[in-house]
Amino acid sequence: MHARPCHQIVSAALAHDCQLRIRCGGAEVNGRSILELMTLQAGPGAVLEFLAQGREARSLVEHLVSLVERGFEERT
Amino acid sequence: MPVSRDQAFWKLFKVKTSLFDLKAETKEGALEEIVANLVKAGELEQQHTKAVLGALTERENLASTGVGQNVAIPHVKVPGLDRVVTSLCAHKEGLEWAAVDGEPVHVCFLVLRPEEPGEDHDPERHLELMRWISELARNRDFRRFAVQSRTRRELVDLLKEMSNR
Repeated sequence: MHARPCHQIVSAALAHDCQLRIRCGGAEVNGRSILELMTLQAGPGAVLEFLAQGREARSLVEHLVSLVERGFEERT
Repeated sequence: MPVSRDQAFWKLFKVKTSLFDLKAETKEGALEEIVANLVKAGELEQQHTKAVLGALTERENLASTGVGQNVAIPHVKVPGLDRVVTSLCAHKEGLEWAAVDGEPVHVCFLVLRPEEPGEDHDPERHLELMRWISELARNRDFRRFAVQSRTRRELVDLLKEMSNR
């Protein structure tokens, strides 16, 4: 996964009071670490699964889904 | 998924382009120091300096390349470049980089790449390179040894040594 979307995901995760795991293509990583996210093979069309646990889990997942739906605001 | 061992990405990092003891006291200063060293090493033409620094600054303004765990990975596309140019650097004291975790940066992987795919630049392979860097940077021993390195060669040799683990 490219660094900028990783940064957006991790920034959101760190701003919420919860844990986050992200699954993609059989791999699962800590969603609060850019370095772990960058190791995911998540090219265009990849399916990401967000697993959040904690007080603000629902809010975080909603935020992340919105980010993905907006293409991480990178589409031109 | 493990990064393929046979791609030998460590070969992209040359001793002469690396700095084991960055002197800069700011992120901006560090980027200038690294780019100046690339020119000195003959890996970057002087005429590209302004464009490279401009692209790096713009990239930092979009989002810090401080990816956490004391690591920064500034990487940008450079118009006119025909191949990937890299530099591995260490800063003993650590630099404020507005990193995502707020921690200072001790290890910096700088990656410049061409704007367009070409004979010496495959975007897919580039993504693999970034994954390989991320795998290495996650390794606490790599980060510790990088900061402790006493020569450029020691620093760069870590890439090969730790890639094979």
